[in-house]
Amino acid sequence: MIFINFKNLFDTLKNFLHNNFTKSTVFIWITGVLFFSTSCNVSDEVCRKEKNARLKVGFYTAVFNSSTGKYTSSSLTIDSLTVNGVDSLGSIVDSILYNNSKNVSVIKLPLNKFSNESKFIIRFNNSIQDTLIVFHTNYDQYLSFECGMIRNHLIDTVLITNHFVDSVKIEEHNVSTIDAEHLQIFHN
Amino acid sequence: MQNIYRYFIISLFVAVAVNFSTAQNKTPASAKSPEVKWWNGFLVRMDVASPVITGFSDTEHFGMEGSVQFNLKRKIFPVYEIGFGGADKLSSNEVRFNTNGIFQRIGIDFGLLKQSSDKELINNMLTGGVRLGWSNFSYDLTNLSLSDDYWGGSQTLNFEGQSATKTWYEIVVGIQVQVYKNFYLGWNIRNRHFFKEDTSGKIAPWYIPGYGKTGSSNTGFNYTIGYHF
Repeated sequence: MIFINFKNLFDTLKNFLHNNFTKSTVFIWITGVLFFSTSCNVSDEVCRKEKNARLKVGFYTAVFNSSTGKYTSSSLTIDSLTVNGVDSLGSIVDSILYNNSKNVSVIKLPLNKFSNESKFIIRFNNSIQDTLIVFHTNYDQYLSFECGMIRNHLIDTVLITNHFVDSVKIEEHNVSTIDAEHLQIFHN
Repeated sequence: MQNIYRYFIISLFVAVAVNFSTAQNKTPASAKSPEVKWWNGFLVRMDVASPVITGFSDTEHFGMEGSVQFNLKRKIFPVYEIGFGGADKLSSNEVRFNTNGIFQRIGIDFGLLKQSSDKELINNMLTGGVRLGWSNFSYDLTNLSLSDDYWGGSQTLNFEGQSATKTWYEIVVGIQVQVYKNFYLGWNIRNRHFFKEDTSGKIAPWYIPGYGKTGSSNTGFNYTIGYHF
């Protein structure tokens, strides 16, 4: 255990400052310059925060519990899933979000930062497809000087066709960089 | 290259310091138990660290400050500090922050070394104290870009003429020596803290005049030249 005797330290410093005038003057220059030289180092920070807010969608199936007489949700794994965005003109966006992805139970989708509507086509098991439309408002959040500004979303309404999907439920309206499940899609 | 400059400055300062100190004549011992008065004048100081750092660094931020330190009983030192500071910084993602403004601080220092009763009154001292600082300033945060990689589109946001008033406190420790007659040299280190942090999501300033780079705390340094009246 290290024990510092502050009284002795102070006495030494006091004697030094009081008795060694020449040395103390040199001491103050040198220590000052050392502090000064360390303070010259300027480090450039890089943003390490997540900058994209994504809509997190989970797939579920409703299971009837005979002992309680109620339905409970159980996570559903889709064997094969393809997801595309559809722009305001009705054209499929070139970049594919999920391309025949296997064993998927959760997907993360980008909402349009410059529109209040985001439309997706979800193809289940290479056969049946549904269209998901999310109506949302957008708001900006300043992160920091290094990271700048990000655009988050607030979900207003969600519409979905019912070919493979039975229903959709909004779990969390606020879509930000905080990890949360926003929508639950049910299939029976 | 920066290192060469640094060693050059260090050697220059040491050389000047040796000259200063050898030229200094020691004053003879006066009374055995010197009487310590309440009022012992005041010291006007200029900080040389800020302008020198501004000159040698990337000039991201600049500052200039001075202070008046009153000497009461040779152990209590009320202090008033005033200065001008600012910053002009470009981030790695091309966001620009610009500010300047006046800042002020008031506070008190205490002499941490006991005055020896059997020696002459010595003006070299080790002090510790606190400051209350505040600054009212305006700032611009420009060229904040937003883009959508998937859906397409981009936008640039500018926030100009934002104004803020910030208050903070500082814990200061310093050393001061009399180098020649009424001339003093000294340095001090300060640890600064906000009373209240900015709420998340607000367009917060990157730099605050008198405080420095925004953060829950930061450390500052002054190198002062003073004249005692």
